[in-house]
Amino acid sequence: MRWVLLSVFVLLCSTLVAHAFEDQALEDDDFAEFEQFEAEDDELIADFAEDKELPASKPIKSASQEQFEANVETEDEILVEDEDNEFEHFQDPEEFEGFQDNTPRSSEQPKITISKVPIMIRPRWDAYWLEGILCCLLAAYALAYAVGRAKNTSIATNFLKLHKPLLDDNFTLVGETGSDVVTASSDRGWRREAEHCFTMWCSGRLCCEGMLLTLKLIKRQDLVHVLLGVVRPTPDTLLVRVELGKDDSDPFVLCVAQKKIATRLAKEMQDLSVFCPERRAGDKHGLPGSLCVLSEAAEATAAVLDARVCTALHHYHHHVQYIHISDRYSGPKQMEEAAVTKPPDTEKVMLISFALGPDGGGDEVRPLLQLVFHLMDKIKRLRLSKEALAKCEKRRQKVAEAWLRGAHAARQEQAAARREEKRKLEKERILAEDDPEKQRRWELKEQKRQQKRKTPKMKQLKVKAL
Amino acid sequence: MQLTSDPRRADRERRFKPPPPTSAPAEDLTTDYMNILGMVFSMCGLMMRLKWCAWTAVFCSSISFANSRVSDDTKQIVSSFMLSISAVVMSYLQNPAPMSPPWAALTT
Repeated sequence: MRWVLLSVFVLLCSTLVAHAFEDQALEDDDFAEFEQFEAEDDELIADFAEDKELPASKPIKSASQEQFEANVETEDEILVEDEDNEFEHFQDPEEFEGFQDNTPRSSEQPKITISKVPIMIRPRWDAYWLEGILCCLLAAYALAYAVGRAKNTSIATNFLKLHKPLLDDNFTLVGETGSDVVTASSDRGWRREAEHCFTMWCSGRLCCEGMLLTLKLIKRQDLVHVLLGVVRPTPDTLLVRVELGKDDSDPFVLCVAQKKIATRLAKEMQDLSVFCPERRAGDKHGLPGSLCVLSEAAEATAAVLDARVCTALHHYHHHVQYIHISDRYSGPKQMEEAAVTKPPDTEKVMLISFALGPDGGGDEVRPLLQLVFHLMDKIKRLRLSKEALAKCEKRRQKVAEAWLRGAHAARQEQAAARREEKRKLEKERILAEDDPEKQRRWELKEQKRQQKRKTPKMKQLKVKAL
Repeated sequence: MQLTSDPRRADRERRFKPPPPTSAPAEDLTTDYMNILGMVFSMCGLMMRLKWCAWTAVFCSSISFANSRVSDDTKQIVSSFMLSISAVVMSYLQNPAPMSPPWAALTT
């Protein structure tokens, strides 16, 4: 039984294998015709190419031409049965009669010149040298920013370390607290306004409402300013703004400044230009020659610039840029239009500017700060004589009256301008209307009004003439 | 110049009040000028495809940033930076050729 089954299985397998072989043979046979055709084509094309490319070799081959033609003929005989041979004319010698004679028989190949094509389309990196320099400059600027910022911060911190104890001795409130505050040891310190500008408010002292210290340093964080500073050096400055109370000083204006700065302040500052028209040399007041004095009251000047102040100014006149004491301080002169509308707000202040030494100053700052405190006390104690006080008051009154007159005139001008504008609009409106009668009436009315305006002036002249 | 008595008075403490703008010293306008210049150069760089304009705008923005105050508007500085950098990027995307120095045009 087993043998029978095995024989059946073997028989089945053999039939399957035989069937598979048959299929493969069939598949191959399906494209047999085309393969034969392709092979023929390739042969023909190869022959044709040989003929065309090497015309000089043709005579050499012509010896075996007959044999070749014979082969072709035999092939043709085989193929003619299938289809017409379209490339038959290539083998026909009569087709190419005189062909070999016409073609130039030269053994030299035609010269082909190959132009050089650049392989690198993109320019090389070293072509971007200008961009490289600019990037380096940007990097240098960023580096200078970081270094300059750190330097300015360290100057501010150093100032606190050196002088905060003195400030703490004079004020109950010194410095600010918050996130963007530069401190040395305690939680209070400078408020950073910019990378080169720090402010500190101090309050809680006799003789003043408060004192605002502004540390205006060189813009070390800006490389351009650093380079400009090499050409025209500017110092670090400490601006002190002391806000005086109502009863902390008598009414007077006084300014002690370096000559150049005095000229500028006299031109720019409203109060100095109004109350201190005269500028005197410092020698006349026992001060160094580099300083100038702009004073409203000689009495006040003499009282403020006492022996101790003069000594201090002699010692530190290089550091003192200006000391400006005023009860009518309103900042720089305003534009005409703004000044007309309302009187300028005035304050009682003492403004002092110190030029600090290299790297934010050192030991010279302490006596300068003591000078500020001394001046505060001095101004508080100072009392002008009755005559001087009366003169100062009279001057202020005159200035106020002059301002009122100016303001009144300006208001009248404004009113006249508004009236004129209104009349213009009315005239345009009338002219735009179609009714000629209305226009005539308006013109008459306008004429009458003009006459009326002119008449009172004549009367006034008559009165004056009498 | 030594002070004899304690001048401190807690009852005279006042809160800080910023001085009125009219009496404040002249403000530093470098930031504003550089901002405007940066924008002008950026626009020139973008519109006229001038690479040196775009680079100048980047430098103007940097100077503006370095001189800015804490109270200044950060958005304005950031937008100025973005505009100038985009001017540089766009000018090199349009024409990746390297920038020629100004004297090269004079010599040729």
